[in-house]
Amino acid sequence: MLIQIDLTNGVPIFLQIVRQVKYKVAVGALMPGDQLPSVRQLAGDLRINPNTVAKSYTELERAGIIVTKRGAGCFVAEKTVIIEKEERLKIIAAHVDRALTEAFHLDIPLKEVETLFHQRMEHVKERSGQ
Amino acid sequence: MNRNSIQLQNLTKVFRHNVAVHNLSLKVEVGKVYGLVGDNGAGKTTTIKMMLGLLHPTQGMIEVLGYDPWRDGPNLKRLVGYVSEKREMYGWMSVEEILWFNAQFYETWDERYADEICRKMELPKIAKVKQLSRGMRAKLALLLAMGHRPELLILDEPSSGLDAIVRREILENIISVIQTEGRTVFFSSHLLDEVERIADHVGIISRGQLLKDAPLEVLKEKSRRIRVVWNGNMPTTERLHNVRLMQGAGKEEAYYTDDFREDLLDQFKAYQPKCLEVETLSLEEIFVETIRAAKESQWR
Ligand SMILES: Nc1ncnc2c1ncn2[C@@H]1O[C@H](COP(=O)(O)OP(=O)(O)O)[C@@H](O)[C@H]1O
Ligand SMILES: [Mg+2]
Repeated sequence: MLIQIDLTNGVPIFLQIVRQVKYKVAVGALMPGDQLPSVRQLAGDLRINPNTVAKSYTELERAGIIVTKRGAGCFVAEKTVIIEKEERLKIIAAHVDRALTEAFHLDIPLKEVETLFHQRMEHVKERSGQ
Repeated sequence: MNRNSIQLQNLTKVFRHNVAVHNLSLKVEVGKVYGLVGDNGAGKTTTIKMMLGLLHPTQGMIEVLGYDPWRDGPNLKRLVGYVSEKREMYGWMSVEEILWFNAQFYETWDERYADEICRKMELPKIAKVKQLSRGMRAKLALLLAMGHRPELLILDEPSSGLDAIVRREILENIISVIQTEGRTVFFSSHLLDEVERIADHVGIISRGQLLKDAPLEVLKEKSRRIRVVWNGNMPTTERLHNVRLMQGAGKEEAYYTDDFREDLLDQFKAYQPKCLEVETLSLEEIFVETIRAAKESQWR
């Protein structure tokens, strides 16, 4: 499982792990029943405090994304609690917000951003042959 | 059983007229990783040396693993692993000899464990210590501090002056110590990203004073940057409470707070800014702001 830690953006490490696992489940990179690396393993790989990994797993379990099987480890939940639409939309909304903020700082009017957005959509559609 | 591995109370150390450590108090819970961060000359090494009984405090109380380090030095030494800032070692010995030499001092020295780390870190056993590269010496110093499986590992800037690859190996080894139930680690550093990776608890020290002492999580949760773009009318800085101007002048400004609550934003909203954003901060930024705030309040 590939997780990337970014220490420049200020987001707490445990939250970075939670978000990335959620994201992987949402997009299907992690499937129900898939096993997650052990706390020890992931802490070693990422060179971070194991308590931090444990905390993110607890949070993921609380959110119903993963389940812990005693002695066996952590797995992506079977009951396909594949992240609800709302949650997925939230992830996208954050990206959109960031682009809008950036546009504001670069003095691009909202109307032009909207046009640009449609252009990009066309571009993506063409590329994927739809 | 004691819940704290280390307890310092109102610790002060004065060298002639220089106050190196001033009225410092902190606790380190068993099994936790404490990162002490501060610039050069802040008082990190002096604090650590007092914890090990290598320096006598001018004032204050110290308890490490239930011992008074100044009086019970030998007892304490068996339970603690220490890597000093200078990583001094006998240069004329070979790696193999120094390992053997070290083993004689500790009843609990674990030869298999030491061998395993030695191999993992690719330390050349027959090389003389003085011929080792800086990175190799640092790794050896850490091995010598870990080989007796200490309850408490104290590291004074374990990876300063080392390249990224060696730093990574050192970090991996520290993490493997943390993985063992109940081991406590106290380390000083000025590499903030390293501290953010492995510390449970962070202390920020400057000019001998502990300015911050909190779980990393709490520190991160409470610190925020508030970015604002004013819409014509804007307050004078003195009118905004519990925030400090970080940067910017004129329409666009960034404020810092170490005690964030949503209602802190009300005073900004009252001026109907064009744009108001709240951002989390890296430990590095929190450190810089903490030091800056302390300096400013000294000026006043
Ligand atoms: N043996 C000593 N005699 C006199 N002054 C000292 C001695 N050791 C440290 N100091 C002074 O105490 C202050 C703190 O030093 P130190 O604890 O080494 O800081 P750090 O480890 O954070 O860089 C500095 O001003 C330093 O010059
Ligand atoms: Mg020092």
